[in-house]
Amino acid sequence: MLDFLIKLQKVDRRWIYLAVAVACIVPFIVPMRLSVHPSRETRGVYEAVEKCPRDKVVLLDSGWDAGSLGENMGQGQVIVDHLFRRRIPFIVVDIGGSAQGPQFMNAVIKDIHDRKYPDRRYGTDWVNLGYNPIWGWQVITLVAKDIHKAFPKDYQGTKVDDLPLMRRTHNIDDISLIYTVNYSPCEDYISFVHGVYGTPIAFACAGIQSTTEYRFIPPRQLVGMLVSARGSAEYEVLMYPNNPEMRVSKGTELIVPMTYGHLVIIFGVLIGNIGYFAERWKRRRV
Amino acid sequence: MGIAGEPQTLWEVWLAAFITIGIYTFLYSDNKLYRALLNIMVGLNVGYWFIVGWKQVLGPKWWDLAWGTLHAHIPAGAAWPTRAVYWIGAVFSHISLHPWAFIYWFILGGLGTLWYFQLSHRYLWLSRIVIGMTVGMGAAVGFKGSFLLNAPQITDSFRPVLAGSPSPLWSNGAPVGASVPVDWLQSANNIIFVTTIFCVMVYFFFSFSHDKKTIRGSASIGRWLLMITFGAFFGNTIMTRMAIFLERVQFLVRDWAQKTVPVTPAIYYAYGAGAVLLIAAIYFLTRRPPAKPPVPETVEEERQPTGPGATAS
Repeated sequence: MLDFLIKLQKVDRRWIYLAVAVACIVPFIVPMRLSVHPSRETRGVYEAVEKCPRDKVVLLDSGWDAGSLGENMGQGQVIVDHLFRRRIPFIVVDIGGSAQGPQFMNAVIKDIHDRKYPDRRYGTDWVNLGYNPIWGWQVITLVAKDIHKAFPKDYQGTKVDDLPLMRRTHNIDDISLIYTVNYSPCEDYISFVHGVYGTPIAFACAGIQSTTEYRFIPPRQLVGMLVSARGSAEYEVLMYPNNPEMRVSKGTELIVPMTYGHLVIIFGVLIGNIGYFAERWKRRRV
Repeated sequence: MGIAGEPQTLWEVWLAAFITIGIYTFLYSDNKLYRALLNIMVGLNVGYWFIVGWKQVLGPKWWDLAWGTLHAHIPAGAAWPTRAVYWIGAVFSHISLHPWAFIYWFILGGLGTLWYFQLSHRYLWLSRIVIGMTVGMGAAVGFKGSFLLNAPQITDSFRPVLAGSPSPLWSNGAPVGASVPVDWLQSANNIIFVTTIFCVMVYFFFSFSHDKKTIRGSASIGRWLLMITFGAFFGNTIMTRMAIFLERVQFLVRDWAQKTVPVTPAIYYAYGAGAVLLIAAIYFLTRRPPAKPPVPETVEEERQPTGPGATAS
C-alpha cells in the first residue's frame, strides 16, 4: 500500500494531461450549469457602470487579441452588453495593446449589437477610435487632455469631428469611467488619470495578472476588477440574476469546464502530496 | 462561429484545427510538426510586427508628417523615372519653403536612427545619446508615476486594529468610539492586513541580525505569508492557462468537430477509436524505459585554448 502511495507522485504527466482534457471536453458535449457567486471586485465594476450618467462616455481600452481570447473576450462582451442596455455611450480605444485589439472588440460589439440592440447607432452610441501604438502615460495623458489630438480619426478613417458622440467628448471631464480590457492592463491609468483627475478606473485582466492588481482595490484606486473568465461569468450573473438563458458570454461558456479542469489539477496536487508524505514516512521508518 | 477573429470559412476552420492539434502534439512528446508550426508562428509574428511598426508608428508618426505632402506635387500619370525627378524636386522645394519644419523632422528622424547604432560596436556610443535622453525622461516620469501609484496604498495601510463598520469616509472601518461599536470581522481583517505587512517587512530587513526570537518568529511568519501569496500567484497562473486551453478546446469541439465534420454514426466510432488509440499510446509510451542521454565522444575538442598566447578562432 505504501509503495502504491509513493508511486502516486511519479504518475506520467501525459495521464494528467489526458485527465484534464477529458474533464474539460465533457462539459462542452454534455451541457451542465454550476452556480456562480459574484465576488466583491466584480460587484465593484458592475456598480460603477450602474452609476455612470448617460450624458458622459465610458472609455473602453481594449488591447486584447487571439492570445487572451478565452479570458478577455467575455470581459469585453459583458461590459458592451451592460453599456448598450443602459444606453451609456462608449468610446473604444486601444492604447499600446495588441494592434488587433480594435478589430476583435469591433467583432464583439457587432455581435451584441446585431443580436440584442440593433437600434444602437455607430457614432452616437459608440465609437471605435482604433489603435495607438504608444503604450503608457504619453497617450493616456493626451487622451485626458484632448482625445481629438490622440485620435484624430476613428478606425475606419473618419475624422472624429464628423462623429456626433466625439463632438461632445473632448477630454477627461466628459469621461465617467475608464474600463480597460487587456491581458495586462496599463497601470499608468491609475497613476496619471485616477491619481491626477480622480476618474474611476476598472480593470479586466488575465488571472495571472490579477494577483498584482488586487492591491489597487482596497485604496479605491480601482473601483473593481474582472478576473479571467470567472469575472465575466460573475458579471453576467449580476446582469441577469433570474435569466440564466441570457448568460451567453465567453466567461459563462468556459466557467464550468474550467471548474472541472481545476478540480482535476487539485486532485493531482493532492495525490502528489500524499505520495511525497508517504515516501518521507517510509524513509523515517527505515 | 465567427466572433472576434475566429475562423469563418470551412478551410479556415480546418487549418486552425490542424494548427491547434499540431501544437498540442507537444504534450505527447517533442516532434517535427510542432517545431515546424512553431517556426511558422515566429516568422508570421516577426513579419506582422514589422508591418505594424511601419504602418502604425514610422509611417503616420514620422514619414507622412515629414514627407506625406510631397505626393501632391507629383503628377498621377507620370512615368517612374519622371516621378523620381519630380519627387526629388519636391523635396528641395519643400525644404526651401519650410526649412524649420524640415530641420525639426530631420532631427527627430536622426535621433530615432541613433538607436540602430546599438548594432555597431564601433559607433555604439551614438546610441547612448538617445538612451540617456530616454532614461532621463523615464526617470522623471517613473518618479511621478510611482508616487501616484503607491502613495495611496501606503496611506491605506494605516488601519485601526479595533475598527467599526466601514463607511464612505472610513473605508477600512471607522475608529472605535462611544457611538461606534466594534466590527469584529472588519477588525480581524485589519489585524491580518497589518500583521502581514509587518511580518513581510521584517523578513526583508537584512541590515540587522535575525538572532532574536521575536525577529526570527516574525520573519518566519512573513516567509509563510509570502509562500501563501506565491500559491495564489500559481493558482491564478493555472486559471489563465486553463482559460487559454479551454478556448481552444471549445473551438475544436464546437466549431470544428460539430460543424465541419459530418455527424454520422461512423464519426462517433472514429472518435472512440481515436480515444482508445491515444490511451494505448500513452500506456505503451510510459511503459517504455527512458532513453539514455547521448554520451559525448570526447571532451578534449571542446576545450578552448587559454593563456597569453591563445587567439580567438
